[in-house]
Amino acid sequence: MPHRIYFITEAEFADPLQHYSNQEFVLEFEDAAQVLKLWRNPHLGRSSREGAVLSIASKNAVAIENILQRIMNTPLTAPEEERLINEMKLLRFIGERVLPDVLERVNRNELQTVEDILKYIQELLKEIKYEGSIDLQSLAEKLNQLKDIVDIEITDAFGRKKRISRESVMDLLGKILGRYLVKQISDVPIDEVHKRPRGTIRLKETYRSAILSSQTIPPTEVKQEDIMRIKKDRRSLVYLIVDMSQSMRKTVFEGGMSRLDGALLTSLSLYYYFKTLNRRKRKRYDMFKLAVVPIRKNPKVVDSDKDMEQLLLTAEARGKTYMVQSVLAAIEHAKKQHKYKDIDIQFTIITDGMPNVPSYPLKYKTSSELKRYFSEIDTNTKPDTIECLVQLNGIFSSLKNDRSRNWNISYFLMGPESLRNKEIYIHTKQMLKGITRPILVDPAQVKNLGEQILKESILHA
Amino acid sequence: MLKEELAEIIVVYKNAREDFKTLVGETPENYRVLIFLNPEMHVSVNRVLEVTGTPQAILTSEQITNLRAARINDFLPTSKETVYNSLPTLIYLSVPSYELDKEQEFTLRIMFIHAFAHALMNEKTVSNSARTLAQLYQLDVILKELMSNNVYQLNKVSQNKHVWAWQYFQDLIGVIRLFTEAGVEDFYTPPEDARKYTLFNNFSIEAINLIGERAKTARKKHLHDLIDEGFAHYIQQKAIDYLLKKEEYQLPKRHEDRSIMYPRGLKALIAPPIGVFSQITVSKLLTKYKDEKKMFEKLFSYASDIEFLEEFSWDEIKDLLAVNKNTHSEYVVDHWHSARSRWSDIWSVYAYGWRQIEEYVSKVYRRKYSTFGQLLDDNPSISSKGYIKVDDKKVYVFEANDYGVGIDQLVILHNHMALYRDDFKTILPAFADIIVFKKVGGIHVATLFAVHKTKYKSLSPYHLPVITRAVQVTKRKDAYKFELDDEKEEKFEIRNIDYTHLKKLTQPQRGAISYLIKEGLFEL
Repeated sequence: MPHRIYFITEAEFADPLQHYSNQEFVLEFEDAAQVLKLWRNPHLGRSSREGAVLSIASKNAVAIENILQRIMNTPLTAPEEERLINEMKLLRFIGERVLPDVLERVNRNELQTVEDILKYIQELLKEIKYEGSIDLQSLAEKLNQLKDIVDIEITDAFGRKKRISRESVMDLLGKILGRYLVKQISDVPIDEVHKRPRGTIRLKETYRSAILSSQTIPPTEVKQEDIMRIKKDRRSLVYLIVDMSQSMRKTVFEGGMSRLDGALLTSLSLYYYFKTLNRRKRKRYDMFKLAVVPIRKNPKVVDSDKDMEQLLLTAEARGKTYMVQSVLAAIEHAKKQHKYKDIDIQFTIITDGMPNVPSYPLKYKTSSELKRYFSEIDTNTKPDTIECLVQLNGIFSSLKNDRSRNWNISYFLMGPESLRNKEIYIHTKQMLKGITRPILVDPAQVKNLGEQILKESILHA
Repeated sequence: MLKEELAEIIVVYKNAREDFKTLVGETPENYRVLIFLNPEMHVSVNRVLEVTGTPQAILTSEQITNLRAARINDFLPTSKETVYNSLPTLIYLSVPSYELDKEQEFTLRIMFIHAFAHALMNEKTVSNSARTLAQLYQLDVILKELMSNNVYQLNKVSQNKHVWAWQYFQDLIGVIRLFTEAGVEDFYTPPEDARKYTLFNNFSIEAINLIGERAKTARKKHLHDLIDEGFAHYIQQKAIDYLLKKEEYQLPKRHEDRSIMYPRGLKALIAPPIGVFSQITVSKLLTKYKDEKKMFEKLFSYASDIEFLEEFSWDEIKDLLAVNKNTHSEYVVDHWHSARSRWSDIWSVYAYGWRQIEEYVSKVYRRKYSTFGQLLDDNPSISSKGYIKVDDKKVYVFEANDYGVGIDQLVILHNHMALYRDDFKTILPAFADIIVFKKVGGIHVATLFAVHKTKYKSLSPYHLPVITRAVQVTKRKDAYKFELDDEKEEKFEIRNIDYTHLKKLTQPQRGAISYLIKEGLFEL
């Protein structure tokens, strides 16, 4: 037989243990809502926890089989051998004694949080303290993998999986959603004057610069370095005032996502959007600061990661619409922040109804014209609501006239297109006359809300 | 350049061929040697061969995940040689080192001789084993090509909208292969004229047909491992004795009992029970036929292990097993393992190896099994257990004791089980609910995979409203009586559960099923 030698590269003979699938994770807004739901309610994740127990079990079983083979087939050094035998014993112990028990507890919904798991491990170690056959120290280390059980599992529409620990849910969601928003916004073509959060592109200068660099009229292309912007050098404080009243509980589309979930995720995505933006632009101070003000009784301004996390975890859609109070809280917060003049303050209100709890006493002057309007029309709207609208109008008008800061207000009304003919829209429009106009957002399109808010309001700030 | 670096290895290879010629009288001519410069790749190929039976088979993503985890933890055996007994024989080696010292040279030479023995056996034997393995190899390569071409095309046509295809096709091939091999063949193949509508249909038709063919071929393969190993180990021992006698190599002797200390690299060839037992059995055959040439002829003439074993009485075989297990237990731990390890820890591993051989031998001998299919049917790792009817909906029950089928893989069964042929029109929305029993390590679990009706247009076969639940199967009396969620919103009223179509289930298994149906099927 003739003997020949060929050389084969790894491209021709690929590693058989490679993952074939594309690992890029696509998180849709709806998936994000699902994650939020699981995060807020550990009760719901039972099936994921059971799955996690099974996957630990089969991983361990495969490991044991291979260790057996390794001990028989591979030349080993003494410490290596010792390690393998220990590992094998631990894995067996976990597979035969611990995991069955854990699965049962998971079935009974007893292991829902990291604390539950740690407590369980403690008890287990105490119980087997005197058995002697097992190295407790390394067992304790190994048992730490049980913490994975309470991770939140997400699968995207293409079957790819990701497990996130409960502590990092907000960060991960926020980053994904924030980046998503950045992408959506920068999709806008540069062909006219565009207002962007980082400054306005000046077409005339850009054009001139392009002519110079390409040496032709008209210029053949516009290079990135030709683009001229007016740099934004004023700080902006953005207050996202989010409705959390009863009506926000309504689901918007399939998957059981509620309006509140949509609003919360939008707040989160904007929060992270500005965070990334601030990080990209290295300045002495943060260009933008976003705070969320929930519309509920005794509203508190949420402006730190910790508070944000707390808000996401505990927010509930219930009670009346305390919008006036929330706006007042935001004003108070804003006035405390920066004393000097050149600062933009943006109020973005997201609601699906009308305010119905007036605030007394009110320091702001109310408009008699609006009062007259309400008294002249024939309406089903309750007097409290009307009073609120009048109060809000008073507040907003005085803000508009306030020269100490630059106040901007935008108002998003959640509801279908048919709302335009209803009292809620007409009244809101009347209330905002001379200040801004209400923007109607379809709840089914809540995933684009973040983009819409940026385009319609914040960019003009 | 590499050719020069591998020069020493080629010299050893040539010497090994010379040795083989002297020892056996002829050399094999139909084999390939693949030397891996990256030993990690060799380990992976070795595992794939171990798990699936051929080096080119596609693993399910579950298997890959588990094996990768084991690889990261350094749990995988790094055998220095892997032989795939097809025709041509495929020999996989990791390169030991470019410059070989005496010990490495000896090790490599013995490994080559061992592999040549396998190759010669594959050329000479009347058994269909080698030819069948060659066919399986080919089919696996075709399946792999088919998969990558279809994924490529699918992604090209649809502007990257089908990113799910890799994982899905991989699991499709992996899972259906496991099931059809175990004799569960109820997979739906779209009708021939569906081929032209979508690439996905086309792929399913091709793949499922090929896998079916593969299963049929695999099941017909003769059981031949004992003869293969016996012959190779016999020649290998002969070669060791020959080389030592020629005094080309000096091996150190143990201080205590003056026994030879073999190079550590030969552990995979010398230590495991299969080599010990098969070699002793072949030697016993030699005492029966006296003449070595005649004994070789005899070995080549057996179609399967049963013919070989039937040369002896059952009592003789039982003796061979018991006596050698005993002697093996006396020296293997001393020779190949550290003195710091406990004897019982190490021996339990080898005892496990012996137990597997005992099981195999007694099954083959007692029940006269000659093919792989018969052995599989004896204790199938995957079997169908019938179905339950919940109102109009059927829930199918399987037992699957294979690490290739995890929860993620159940989507394949859901989408492709032909048991639903009457109920569905296109290939995807089959809505098959499935319960699978599985023993994982020390737990026996029942898993439910239920799919609700989709209201939206799904983006991929994974994009389904799925519920999975898992519960332990146990005899305990209080099992399945959990205090469950207080806030069960709209729980469907189950009117009618029909258990009459189930077969061969234990009482705890039935308990688990009814628990899963009650608590899982209508959650969401």
